[in-house]
Amino acid sequence: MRVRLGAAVAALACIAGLSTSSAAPRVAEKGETLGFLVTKFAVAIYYGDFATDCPEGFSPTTDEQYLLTQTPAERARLLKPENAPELEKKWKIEYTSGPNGEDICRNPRSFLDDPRHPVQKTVQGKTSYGMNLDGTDDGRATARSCQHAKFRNPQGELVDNQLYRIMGCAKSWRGEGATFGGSMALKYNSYMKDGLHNYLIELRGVNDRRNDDDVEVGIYSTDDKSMLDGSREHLPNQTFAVTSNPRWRNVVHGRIVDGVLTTDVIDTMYLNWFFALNGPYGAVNEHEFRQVHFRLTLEKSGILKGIMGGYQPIEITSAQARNGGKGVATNGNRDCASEYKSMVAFADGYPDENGQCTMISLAQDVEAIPAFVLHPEAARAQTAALP
Amino acid sequence: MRTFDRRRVLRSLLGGSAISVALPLFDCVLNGNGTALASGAPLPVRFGTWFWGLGVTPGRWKPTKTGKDYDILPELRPIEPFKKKISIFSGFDVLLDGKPNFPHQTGGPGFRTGIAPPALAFPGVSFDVMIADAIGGNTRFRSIELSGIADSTNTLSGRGAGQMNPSESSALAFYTRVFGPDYKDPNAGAFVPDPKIMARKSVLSAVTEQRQELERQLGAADKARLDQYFTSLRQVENQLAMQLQKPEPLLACANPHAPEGFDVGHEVENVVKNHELMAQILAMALACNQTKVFNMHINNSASSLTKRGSTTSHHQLTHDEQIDEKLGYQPVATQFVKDLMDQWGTFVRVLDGVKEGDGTLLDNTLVVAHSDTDFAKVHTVSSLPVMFAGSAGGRVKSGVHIEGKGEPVTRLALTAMQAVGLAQDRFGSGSMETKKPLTEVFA
Amino acid sequence: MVRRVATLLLLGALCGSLCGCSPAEPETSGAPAGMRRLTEEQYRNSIADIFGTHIQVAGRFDPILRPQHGLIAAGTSQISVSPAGFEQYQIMATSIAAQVLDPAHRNTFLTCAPKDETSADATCAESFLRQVGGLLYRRPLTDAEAKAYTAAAGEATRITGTFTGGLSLSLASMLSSPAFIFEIDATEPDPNHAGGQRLNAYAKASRLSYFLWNTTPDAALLAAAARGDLHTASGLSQQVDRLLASPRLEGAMRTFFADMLQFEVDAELVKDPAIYPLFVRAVKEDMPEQTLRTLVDVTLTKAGDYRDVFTTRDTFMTRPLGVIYGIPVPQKSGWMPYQFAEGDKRAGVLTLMNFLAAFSHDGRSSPTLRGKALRELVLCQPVPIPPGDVDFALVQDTKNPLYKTARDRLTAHRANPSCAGCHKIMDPVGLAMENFDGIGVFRAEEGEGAIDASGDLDGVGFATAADLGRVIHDNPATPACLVNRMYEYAVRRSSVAGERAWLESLNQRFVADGYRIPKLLRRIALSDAFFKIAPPETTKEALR
Repeated sequence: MRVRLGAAVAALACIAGLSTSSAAPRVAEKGETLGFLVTKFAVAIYYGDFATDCPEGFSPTTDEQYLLTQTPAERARLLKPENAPELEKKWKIEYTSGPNGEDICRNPRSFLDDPRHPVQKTVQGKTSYGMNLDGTDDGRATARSCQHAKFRNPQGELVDNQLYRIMGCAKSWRGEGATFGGSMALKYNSYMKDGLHNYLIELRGVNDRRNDDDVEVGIYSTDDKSMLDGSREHLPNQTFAVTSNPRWRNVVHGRIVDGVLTTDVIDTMYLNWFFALNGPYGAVNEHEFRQVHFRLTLEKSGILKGIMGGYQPIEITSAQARNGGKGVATNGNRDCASEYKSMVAFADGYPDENGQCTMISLAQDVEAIPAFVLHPEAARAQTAALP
Repeated sequence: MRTFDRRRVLRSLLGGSAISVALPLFDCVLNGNGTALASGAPLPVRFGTWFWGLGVTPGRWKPTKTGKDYDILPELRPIEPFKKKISIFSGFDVLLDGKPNFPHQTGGPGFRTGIAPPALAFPGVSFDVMIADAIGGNTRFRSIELSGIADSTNTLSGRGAGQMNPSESSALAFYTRVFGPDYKDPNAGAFVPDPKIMARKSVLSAVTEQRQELERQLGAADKARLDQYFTSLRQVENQLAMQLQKPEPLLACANPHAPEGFDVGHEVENVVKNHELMAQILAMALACNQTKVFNMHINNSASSLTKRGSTTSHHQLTHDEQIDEKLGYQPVATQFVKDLMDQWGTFVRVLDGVKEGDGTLLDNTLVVAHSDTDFAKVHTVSSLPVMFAGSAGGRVKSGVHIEGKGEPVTRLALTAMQAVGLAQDRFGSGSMETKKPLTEVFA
Repeated sequence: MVRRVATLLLLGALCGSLCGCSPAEPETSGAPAGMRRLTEEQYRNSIADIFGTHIQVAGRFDPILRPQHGLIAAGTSQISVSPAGFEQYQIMATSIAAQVLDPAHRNTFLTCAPKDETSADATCAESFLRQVGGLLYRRPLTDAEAKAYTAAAGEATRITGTFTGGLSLSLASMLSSPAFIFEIDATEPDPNHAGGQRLNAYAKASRLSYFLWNTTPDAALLAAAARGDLHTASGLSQQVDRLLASPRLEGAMRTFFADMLQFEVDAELVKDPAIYPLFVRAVKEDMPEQTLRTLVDVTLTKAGDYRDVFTTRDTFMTRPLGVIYGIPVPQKSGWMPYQFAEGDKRAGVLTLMNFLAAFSHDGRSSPTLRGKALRELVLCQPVPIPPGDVDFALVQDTKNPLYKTARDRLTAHRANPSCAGCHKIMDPVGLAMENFDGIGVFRAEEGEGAIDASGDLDGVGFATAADLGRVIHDNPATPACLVNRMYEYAVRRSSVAGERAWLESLNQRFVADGYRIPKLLRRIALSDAFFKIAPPETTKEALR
């Protein structure tokens, strides 16, 4: 990514003045303020050796899973070219519907006991991106987590990422390797280019960009659209106003050690979120994460890059498929029922009264470029001050 | 200088009978592009679109070089023999302005109407319809819509949701519609001059009558400039006069054979055959002046094409099929792109095979070929693959690759409209509104 | 040429204090009656003013002509209509006429009803054509014209079988006729100079209106012409003051500034996206508008000293422009005022991105192009074209480790004596703007080399681009150039030899008026020189 930081830095003093406002509390009076536009915010996929991570290959797609539910003889019969229409009808219509016509993507809960839609193949590798969310080194159950297995991140720390465990061998996630990427991540990031949802990060009170144990970090939604250059990259140094919805403004304390910013835990983080596939657009419009923390490197080029870890309610995680409906299972060839069943089985956070965990640990790739972040109150004051 | 006696001509025309009018020859006839008949009367300019769904394969279609010496990658090989007659456009985007990208519903309508659809509906008037309104009036069919797959709703031509032009999807039905019992051989029968053109021509005399009075007031240099003005006026007058004459016989026009009817469905093998037959009938429909505007949709946006013996559609493959690590692309999905581009080559060959005047039917046509996405796997609507074939009767320079670098794709639509003679000075809305055609494309 | 301007200024300076009182206006020769093709803007404005903004004008116009070292406005005196252009005029005319007479608009313009919709009605047609024709031709139709268009309408009605159809076609031919497409100087014997000619009152009205409003005369101005008011000093000044007081003056001044600073360059401006990814469509669209707003703000809104446009810290911003200037722009959409800080590297319109980007190459900045543009457009000091056999390799190679900055490269290039002469004129001022790259983004260094923006303009030194603005502000060629350009814009031709003394005195008045453009406009519009017509057979020789 090409970024010209010079200009942004030159004008940052000016921003610091703008952003001291009721929306930007506490430490901001000292040190510089650095604003960023988030350009990547999508599932972090660790591309380890495929044979190690997924020794049994990819998780079956909907049609493959359907055939697996059949006897070998029936499978062979259905695979004959002359029976192709019959096969199509069976997997696209019968297999993706419940006894009362339930849609496997819209109503995945009704398939929890249906043996035709088993739990997906899980990642067998030991490495994943993520954060240690439960604070344990063995994944034992705690008041806020269910018993689960741990990964180690590339730095060797024990981390939680159950969503990667169940989705890391799915084609829609892992895609065709690091070169081509998973289509889900591509889509999420391309939606930010289309201006469907955009996020900002602001670091305030930075006295030393390499080491500063007291900085304030804001993570915000913005309603402003991002401009792109001719190669569809976000332009640096754009101005964005923080959303007027207080729910989508998150502020947390952080520290910078050797150029790496680590935040304290944000108990609950909401951000606006649009995800349209084929279904009604905007049916779910909010991301919810719990026990969130970021670890981001402030690179020399001015880019902020790293990982966010946290839990997400599985009802939110599965919302994209629910939103898309059956088309996700047929055209998208993802067995939504299996995905959901896997989420229920591997959920590791926030047990309900029966001890069933309702949230799943995950990690998001985060990348952000310099931008001017304005707070609505300050922006109004600034406008009024001009002649 | 009056070139001929307007009143004499009109008197003889106003009898209402269909007669041939003898007019003197003029000193400045509009040729220069090798696209006129022997008498100097211009051949009609035709316009068409050729749509295919699901785009191209990254690294296999888009030339790496721009300009005249663009290189041919595997997926463009079918057009290699016609390279000089085809221009490639890459990097022209459908700009969404924050509206959602509805997979398979945004790219095609976005390009055709210049509006990013705010909902799942065709958002406005497509530019082919604007062209048909302007140039398709005095032929039997204002425009003809065709679909290679058996689906009459497979169309990107219309005035908005609910007012779409349905496609003919059977070669036999298409043949019958054009060359069936209602067909009248354009080379036989009487000629009736268009009264509108007569009237347009007649009123110009009021302008020429002012000439002397104007000249009286002017110095020598300005007299020369006024001369130039009247020379230009005379050329237009002559063009109108040409249109009042009985046209030259359409030498390329011949009644094609009726094709056999067959069940097309969505199997690519049938669709290819269907498309070839329709291309041949269409070429004759154009040569016989039955229509001047056409829209061919070989497959649909979310391509439902299948290979014989398989139920997995082209669309599904683009999402599910793994990219072959060695090849770097999805092998089976890519085969569909190859089949579609082969057919694009066939289409161009058929039009170029019809001799007309000093050139070919293709030379007198502008075909805008395009898809609705660059990379189907993720439904991008940036860098739509677009091609211009033919030179619209010498009005378009062809044989170049031009990169848009993120410019709105509507610039190509505006270029096409102006190339075929529309007085359209802008197109599109929001970020896609443009007033700038690609002037480098104009001859 | 440079020398002539300098002499002129010297005289101006000497005379300025001596003749501050109001001496008689120096006599001018004028130029022969001419004929100017309406610009696209004038055509569109005229149609909108006559028929309303809801009438759509869709078509392409023949290309403009910019004479060497001149204005596009002056080029309109030299161009005609090509065959393709006429075709387009006719298409536009047919569409405009059809809209004017469609059922939705008909009643506004057609005040009589035909006896029968299917046959000709000469009386009704003639009354319509005389009324509309008077507006289109900016003068009453002659009887011969009225007769010809009425006859044409009648004939077209007979052919098409509808009255409005025939009338609309006749109107279309009027719209494509020279009397509308061109503004033609109509003259009459001058009662004050036996044997001489003067512009008739209607031609005066057109000249005033296209100068101050960039559109066709309105009803009040045509009425003043009809009454003969424009031939009297009081009648004329009444109309001029009315035109000057109108918000439409701004439109005309925008056109003037865009013409003077060659904004047509922007339309085809292309930058290498690999080098300048920030040069996106939205930025490109706002770029000229920023400069125009700044110019209008100083000269009209604040009615300030014209020279302040080169030093003002006030400008206007949009979010896309904020990316280029590296500043936050609180307002989400549209324009907001912005002030560069005291001591900022930027001040004045020459440090706004439009000038910097327009006069650069597609992949690098160009001190030479910028210097040349500054000399020619701002100071009216034409720079000779380079000799044909120059080797530019040294200047173009931005990777040469010996010559890191443009200054290094141009210094080496100037070692060639055949280049030195001109580059001495262009480079020092152009190098002042080297702190801004090829699209106007600030940079402290080029490659690894630090940028030295200091230099001198004809012996007056400066340290930065903002500093250069002050030097330009104080250079007497700056206002003199503006005065010359404004006069050319007013008469839409180059000035002639017989107008020099007058221009000189106009310049002195401009100085005395505190360099206020509205006052300059008024002086021009009220002058004899503005309307003066030379005898038709004046040879070109005599005009030089």
